[in-house]
Amino acid sequence: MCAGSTDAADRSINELIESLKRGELSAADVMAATLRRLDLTEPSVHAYAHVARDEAMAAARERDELSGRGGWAGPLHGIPIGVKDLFQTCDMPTEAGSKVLAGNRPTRDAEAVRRLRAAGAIVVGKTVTHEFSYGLNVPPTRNAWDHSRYPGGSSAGSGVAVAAGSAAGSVGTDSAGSVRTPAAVNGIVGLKPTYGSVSTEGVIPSCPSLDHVGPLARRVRDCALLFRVLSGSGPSDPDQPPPALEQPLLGTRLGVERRHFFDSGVEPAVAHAVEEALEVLRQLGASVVETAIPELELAAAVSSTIMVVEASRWHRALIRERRLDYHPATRLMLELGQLLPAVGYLEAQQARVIVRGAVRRAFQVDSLDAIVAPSAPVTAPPIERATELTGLVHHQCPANVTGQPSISVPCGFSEDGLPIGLQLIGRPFAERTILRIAAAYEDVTTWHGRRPPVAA
Amino acid sequence: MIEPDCIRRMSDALGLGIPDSDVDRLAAELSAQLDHVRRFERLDLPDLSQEVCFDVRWEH
Repeated sequence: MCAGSTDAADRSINELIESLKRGELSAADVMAATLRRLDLTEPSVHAYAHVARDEAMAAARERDELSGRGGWAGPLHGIPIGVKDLFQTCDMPTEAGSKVLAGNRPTRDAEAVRRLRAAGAIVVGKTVTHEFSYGLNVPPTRNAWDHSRYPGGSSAGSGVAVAAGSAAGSVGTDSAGSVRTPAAVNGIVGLKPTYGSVSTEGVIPSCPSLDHVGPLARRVRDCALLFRVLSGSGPSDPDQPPPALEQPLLGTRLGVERRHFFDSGVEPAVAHAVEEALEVLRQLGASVVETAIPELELAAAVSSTIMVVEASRWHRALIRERRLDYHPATRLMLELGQLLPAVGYLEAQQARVIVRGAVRRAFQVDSLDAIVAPSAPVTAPPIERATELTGLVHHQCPANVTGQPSISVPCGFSEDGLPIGLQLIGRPFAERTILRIAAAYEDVTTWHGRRPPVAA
Repeated sequence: MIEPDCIRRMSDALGLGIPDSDVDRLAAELSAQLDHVRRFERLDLPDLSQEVCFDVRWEH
């Protein structure tokens, strides 16, 4: 698997759609290539908790029969998608990475899954998540680029499957960076949309006021397409043009908040890659301005306080009945949420208003279109250190606390070959703006073209 | 610092059923989390209203 590969498992969603429309590939060809890649990579990366091999192949043949009759299932006709095992699926288990839900078989699809299927996508399987998406246990999934490294989380399988080519795109959830971290450390694109712009119905909640559903893919325009389907925004007719992402960045204003995002334990290789990316964005016409938002230092405390309380509410009955079936670290967090004073939770929500107001003022005063930052301060650490990664939350929780859209796009590699991500945080409901900036950057760089080794 | 015995008593009083094996670590975690909460107390917090605190959506 390398740059320029002609394997369908390495192609972007938009490239696959073009090939399917032209009849150069059938949906069965695409699915067969995806399943071949899955067979090759799963023994070493463990991205999937459940694979619906026969069902996926049958669905691909159905798509081909439909297109053979002149029909078309939708904008994602025949595209193989991985779904985080936190989304309810009517035809596969939904176990949330936990013994607590072992054998759980929902009767309905989550709204996001329903939308993907209605658009013609085919669910390859359920991708591995940290237990209930809390990021506290160590799942079997490994980084696509180095199997001794952290795969990101909690949408670990969703990130690794897309990087490895065992899905063309995927969906995950992001409550404190769980879409953007796997995207960054696996060298792909991950979008956390504005709070509320994609339905979380039928998704097992992590902490409802911080939870977001978002897509992961190998290219920015693929994420744009998946977002369009998931959010229901814009035309869904496949003959309609894709979002206009090719506009130049002249007049675009990008803010850099150094204190929070650059002066806080950022590895030199990451800092260098992001500074280089800023220079590329300048060359594309963007203005880069320094901005100061000291209130961001509250974001991690706000996030953790809200998370433990909201999490423990959903698990309150389950933890009494199934306490020993939870991973000990997850159990401890849920117990902690039951002990924290209600006043502390309310004060965290009030402090959240302060953070949100400060970020809003910075966007207004500096006329910003986006804030640019490292997606993560480090490249993927060894798997043994996976539970010590508070720095990742530090960089990513601000957009969950404020509800703003945020995207991670590949912007380089460390000397030891590990991917680095660039984070763009946009104005609320301005996904199109950050997608446009990310696509402009992607168009003039080559990081997205590198693919990880296929097998160990 | 929260004493482990406080955790035991709270668990008993509230019927939480927290196992003894979790008590020491939970005392440490709760102490750390309460340090976060004390930071909030020192802020000039906005009025508490449902609209302000729970509607995290921004205007379109």
